[in-house]
Amino acid sequence: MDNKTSRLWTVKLIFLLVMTAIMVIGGLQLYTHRHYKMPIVIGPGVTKVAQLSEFSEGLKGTMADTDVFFLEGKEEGGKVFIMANTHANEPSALLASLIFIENAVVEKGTLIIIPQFNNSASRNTRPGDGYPLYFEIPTEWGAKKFRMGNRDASPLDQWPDPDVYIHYPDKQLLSFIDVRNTNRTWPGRANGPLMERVTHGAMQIMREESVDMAVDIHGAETMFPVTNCIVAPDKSVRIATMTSLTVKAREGFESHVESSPSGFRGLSHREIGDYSETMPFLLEAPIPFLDQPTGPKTAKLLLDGKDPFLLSLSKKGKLFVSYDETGWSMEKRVGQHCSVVLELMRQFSRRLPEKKIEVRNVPRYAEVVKNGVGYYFHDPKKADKDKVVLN
Amino acid sequence: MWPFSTPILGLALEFVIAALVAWLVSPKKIKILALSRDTMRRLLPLLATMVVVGMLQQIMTVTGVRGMISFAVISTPLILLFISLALIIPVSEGVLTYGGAAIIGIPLVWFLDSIGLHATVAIAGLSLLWPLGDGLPPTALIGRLSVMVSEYKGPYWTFLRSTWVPWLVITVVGILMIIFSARLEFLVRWSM
Amino acid sequence: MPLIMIIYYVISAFIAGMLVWNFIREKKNVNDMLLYLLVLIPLVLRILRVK
Repeated sequence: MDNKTSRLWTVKLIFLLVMTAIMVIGGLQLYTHRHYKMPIVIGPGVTKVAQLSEFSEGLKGTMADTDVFFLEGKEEGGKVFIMANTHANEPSALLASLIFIENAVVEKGTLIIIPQFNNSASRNTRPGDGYPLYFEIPTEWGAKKFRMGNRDASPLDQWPDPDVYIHYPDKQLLSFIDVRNTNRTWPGRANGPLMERVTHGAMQIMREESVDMAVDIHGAETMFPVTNCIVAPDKSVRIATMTSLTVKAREGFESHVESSPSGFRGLSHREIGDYSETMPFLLEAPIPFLDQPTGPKTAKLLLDGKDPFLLSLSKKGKLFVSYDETGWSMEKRVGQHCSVVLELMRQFSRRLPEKKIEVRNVPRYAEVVKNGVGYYFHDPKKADKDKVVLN
Repeated sequence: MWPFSTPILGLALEFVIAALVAWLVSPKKIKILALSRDTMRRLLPLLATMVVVGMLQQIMTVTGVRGMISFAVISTPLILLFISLALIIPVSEGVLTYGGAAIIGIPLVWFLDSIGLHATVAIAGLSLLWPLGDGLPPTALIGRLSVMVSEYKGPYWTFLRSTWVPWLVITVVGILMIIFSARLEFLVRWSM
Repeated sequence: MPLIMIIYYVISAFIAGMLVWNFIREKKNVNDMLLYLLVLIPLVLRILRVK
């Protein structure tokens, strides 16, 4: 081998080694994130943990299969289905649902909770949006670590995307990427793309269990008009309105009611009500981290919601929520979700006393803001092994 | 059968099937491996641009630069914004390619919606402006591809200059669609 | 895994193969050598089912 060829191969080898190192370092982090198991400590109210694939067989053996927690009360009553992390980049939903799972005691009625509704999305990262891979919530026993996910399911689990997503069964044309968004694939079908099987499984739960209310918990940007609200179709609007008025009067936070548009298909607050007897509600709390005009996308911004750009835009009246130097902390968002869910159940029970839902041991807004979110999580190292579910 | 039982092929597979069919029915013998390697070599600058733009977008977001650009666009006074869209949108595409829509498009459309403009028509107007940037350096993805495929031999700027008439027409139509989007709402109803 | 997804992995492997072949055969342009490896990164991560 002459000198020139030898030099050439040396250069190629160096490039190859550098690129391999970059790929291994980056790839390992992504692989670890995808397979990171988050421990959930089952609270005193949990009576059964099932898999969504038991209701939608097409999910068996896939990353879209997810844990379903049943909290059945001592007495019969109304049934509430709570979904969190439909969009896995809106973590206040997950945290609120975990507070219910780890603490709630149901006296009357049943809660059915899916904390990672789009499990595939919770194991996905968002290209180009600079999300941290994890975030941590401080607790009395240390920091509890969570995966930060993406809005849409991972292409490793569902691929390819269509040119245009034709919604089943209405044939409305939606964006191609919405085929992996579980808030566009309702009501779903058993043999459709993977995310349609997820929503189909949820519909099966609601039909088989005769669920009375379904609550889909989300977060939305401060620059997005539909934020800090309860979205409800006609059949749910009365309870939503009473809930909104009550939380404003008694707990001092805003959660106005938005009407579910009948022309926009695929969303939980539309399709659940149209294809079952269940009353759907979709909750939104502001999440400044998702806004485009923010500073660096850090875990700190995710947790405290404080950003100088958003503060400036707020003073110019360009945000849809009130925003000041205190930002929008995770405590405020999670507290709002807990209070609104509890109030929805209370208003439902007032309207239909024969289907009363009584839940205790779940904090409301003021308590979560005062104590912090981590206060309500239990140490998995101290719990019995059979009381810890690894998600 | 249509549309729900039709399998989702995806754009890439549709192109592969088309290429395979073209190969099978070609009257001339095509050395597929040599052709594939040559295509990869010719497309390398464009493929690398796509990868690098993605990396750039990620770093810009992590560091807050992207947020700063979004903030600057949203904070611009309205009249100045409408006038400067003719420049900002194509230039953002020229620098960031597909990243321009995420960085500027999302907050811009929400802002335009909040002041009473029709979001769908405004997006349609912006969709006329963004592809103009696919001809602009430094990325000039579609421009470079067009020059490559048509085997145009002259300087790139000469090619770009010759597009000034359609460029101007598209720019004017796009800007007017954005400004008068509320009045053009009937187009959305008509298309459904 | 559905058949169409498997076909996409085959397509990715084919493109990755072409890039590797070109990288090995490239003798003159150092920039191109680097770019071949750069463009390979997302393809390899997908084939290995990392991202």
